[in-house]
Amino acid sequence: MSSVTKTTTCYHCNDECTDEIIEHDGHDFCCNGCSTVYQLLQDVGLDEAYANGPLGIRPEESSNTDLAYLDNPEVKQNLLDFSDGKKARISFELPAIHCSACVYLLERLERLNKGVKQCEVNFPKKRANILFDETEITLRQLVALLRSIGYAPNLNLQNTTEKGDKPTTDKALLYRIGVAGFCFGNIMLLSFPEYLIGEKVLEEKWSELFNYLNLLLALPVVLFAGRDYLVSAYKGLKVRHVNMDVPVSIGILAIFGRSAYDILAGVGPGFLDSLAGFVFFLLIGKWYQAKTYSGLSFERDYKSFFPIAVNRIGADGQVDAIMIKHLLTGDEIQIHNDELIPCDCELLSEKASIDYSFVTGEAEPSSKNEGNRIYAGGKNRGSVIRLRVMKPVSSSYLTSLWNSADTSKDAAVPPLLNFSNKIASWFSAAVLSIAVITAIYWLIVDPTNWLNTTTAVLIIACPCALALSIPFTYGSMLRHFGRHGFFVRSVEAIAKLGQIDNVVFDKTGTITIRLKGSVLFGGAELTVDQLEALVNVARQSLHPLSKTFAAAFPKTPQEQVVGFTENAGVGIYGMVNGTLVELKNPNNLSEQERKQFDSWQTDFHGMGKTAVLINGHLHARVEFTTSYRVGLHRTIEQMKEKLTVWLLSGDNDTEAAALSNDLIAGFEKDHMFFNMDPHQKRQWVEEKQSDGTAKVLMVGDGLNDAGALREAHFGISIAEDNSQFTPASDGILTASSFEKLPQLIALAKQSRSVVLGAFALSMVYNVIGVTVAVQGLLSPVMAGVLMPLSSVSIVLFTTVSTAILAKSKLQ
Amino acid sequence: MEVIFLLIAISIVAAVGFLAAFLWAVRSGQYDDDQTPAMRILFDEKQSTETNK
Repeated sequence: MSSVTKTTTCYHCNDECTDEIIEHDGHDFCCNGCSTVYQLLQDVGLDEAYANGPLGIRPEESSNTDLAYLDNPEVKQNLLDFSDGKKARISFELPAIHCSACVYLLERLERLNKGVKQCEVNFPKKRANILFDETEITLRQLVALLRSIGYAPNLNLQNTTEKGDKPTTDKALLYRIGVAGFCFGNIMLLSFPEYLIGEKVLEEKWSELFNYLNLLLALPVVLFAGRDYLVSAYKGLKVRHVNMDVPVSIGILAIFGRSAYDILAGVGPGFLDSLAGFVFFLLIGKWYQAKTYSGLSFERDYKSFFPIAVNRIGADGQVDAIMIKHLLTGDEIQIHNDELIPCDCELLSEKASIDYSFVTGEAEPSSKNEGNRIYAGGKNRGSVIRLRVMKPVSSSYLTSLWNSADTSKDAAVPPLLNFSNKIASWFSAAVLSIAVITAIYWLIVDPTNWLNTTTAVLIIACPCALALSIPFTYGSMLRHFGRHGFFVRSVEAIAKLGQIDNVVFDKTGTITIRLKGSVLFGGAELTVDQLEALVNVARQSLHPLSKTFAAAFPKTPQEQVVGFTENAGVGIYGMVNGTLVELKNPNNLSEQERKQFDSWQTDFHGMGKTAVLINGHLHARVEFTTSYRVGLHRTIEQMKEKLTVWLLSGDNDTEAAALSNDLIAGFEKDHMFFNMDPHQKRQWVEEKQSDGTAKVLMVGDGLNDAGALREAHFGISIAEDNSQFTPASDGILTASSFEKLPQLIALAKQSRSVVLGAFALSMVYNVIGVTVAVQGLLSPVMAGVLMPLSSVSIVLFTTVSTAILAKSKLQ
Repeated sequence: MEVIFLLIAISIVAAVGFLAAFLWAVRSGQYDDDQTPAMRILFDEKQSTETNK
């Protein structure tokens, strides 16, 4: 098809207008929904929302009948944060929030409905806190209102189990930073006269007063700001384990003890400025490291995939909404098109078409007949079906898959901490032995000086720079990754990513793009009219193959479809301009037709073979090819240089030939496994890693990979956009950044070298400082200069070198 | 020189004031969301701009 036509984008949602263009008020809209929302906003004077261009939100077409469960008092009680029968407060997750116009529109929600009293948006978390009057608008109407303007709230089982949102910024840490900063600044100010070497600018009584004030200011630094380090070191030592906090605590206590002695004995001013600065920098490092992506969730489990309630058919035939945790074996439930089946069931309807792509990775929906067993996690495609519950939700196949992966991963110490702990114990041992040797030496040579020199060694050998290198290196790497569409759970996870040596890909949705493919034809030629008729019929259906078919011909004009019918597992048909067109599953053809159908081979063995019937006669054969991600073969090729690459697919092996082709994907033939169910995938990863040599990176997208993602050393889930459901994983990669994966892995590996470089640099400072200290020459001024200098230079070194690395690799 | 007593007292009181302000800001949730308020302040209310004319 030619594609020279000029593309028009919708004034509201900014999507390309593919079907017809609706003109309204001098602007173009892609659908009625968009123009309705536009009008609605005009009417209440919210057109400012368009000040910076289209809103980019496409309203959902929905009848809202599925929201009936929101009238159920128990569901309501579980969702609402607060309610007194009149005023109610609720916090919704609205994944569609993405720009400032969204905030503008949502915070003026009360203009769209008087029942809404207040709406406050938290942009980074994509949440809205809504205060509303239950007597004027029900929860169900509120959700329907949000849906109608395109912000469908994310309502799922997880909302009912954990309520409210955890504070993402650790307030205690901010308090500590505030206090440490306050003390640091004031101690520096009061120590200033001491920095003027050689001159006695202050009388004795003044410097004494200043010293006592400093000591007073240092108390909260040790007891409040630095408390965590002391506690953690104590806990570590109690179980005979030297962590990074042990040398840090030795430093804190040595400086404080020596300074307190100096001041109280009137010997000197002590090193309290160094102490406060040291703790302040450490806390800043901790804060830098604690960066989280609050809009993303790395912890989602099956609960955030499941609905809150389903429609149960009572004994008297009455349909009512019930929370899924109350479902019992033997209950009859009703599932509408596109709804999820929450538990293992038996099919009571005659036929059904179930889409398991998310659970198993099979691209095509499977058709089921009456009496068949249907596993939880499938989505119904087609008309309403009735099911009988065989197992309650908590023990269904899907839940068991999740839980088995959950328990298998034991709480091992993250390797990064392991690494830094090793350094910590080595460092502590070295510092302590130097201190002991110094003490012995001075006790022999000049006993009056032994305490001075020994504490000086402990002070100057403080591991400040050491303790800063890891948070700042991995923390800034985390930020660079985030800027390129790769979101990692924590700094520890980056270190894990740097260790992997095997990469496992899932197929459907990971290296292929869902609902995007090209269509191949066999058999008789189709006329333009026939093709347009087929596309219009396919548009009526929600079946993935129909959607793919319709999406392949986006420019087709809209036509009236008469008598559209969809039979699950059989096909769809409808009348367009007097022509009856039909898309049919070839298994339902007559024997003679089937023979003819099979004779129309296409060159490429595509999937989703479908028969085209025109006016009841078999006319052509349609096949679909999968659309692979851009640059897939380059990505795989780059990875193969250093890593072993595998493919585990839940789908059948029709694409094996294509996947091993160097120009498409280039997987090695014996490195591809097909028809793997979720349990097998997890087991494969487990076995691969069982001998302790292999560290696997799993790249997947759906629930079918959930087990493997958790089992793997590092799990990455691919998301087309940030609001999409992703199973629990260590990282989330935006699909558009897929090509950068090899570079991202390389960067994670190189981060380790940056850390080692920073360690080397801090060793240089320590060697200089200790050399001075053992000779008994350390002055407070020197410590006051050397220690902040080493901290600042480590911070600069790590952030600058990661920035250079990231720039050279990712641009 | 005795005035230095007073100056130190004033400087510490001022610094404690700022510390208290910071702790209060953290407690009252001003650091919970550091993006949305930045957007909110730039919204023009249509009504108010019309009355200003």
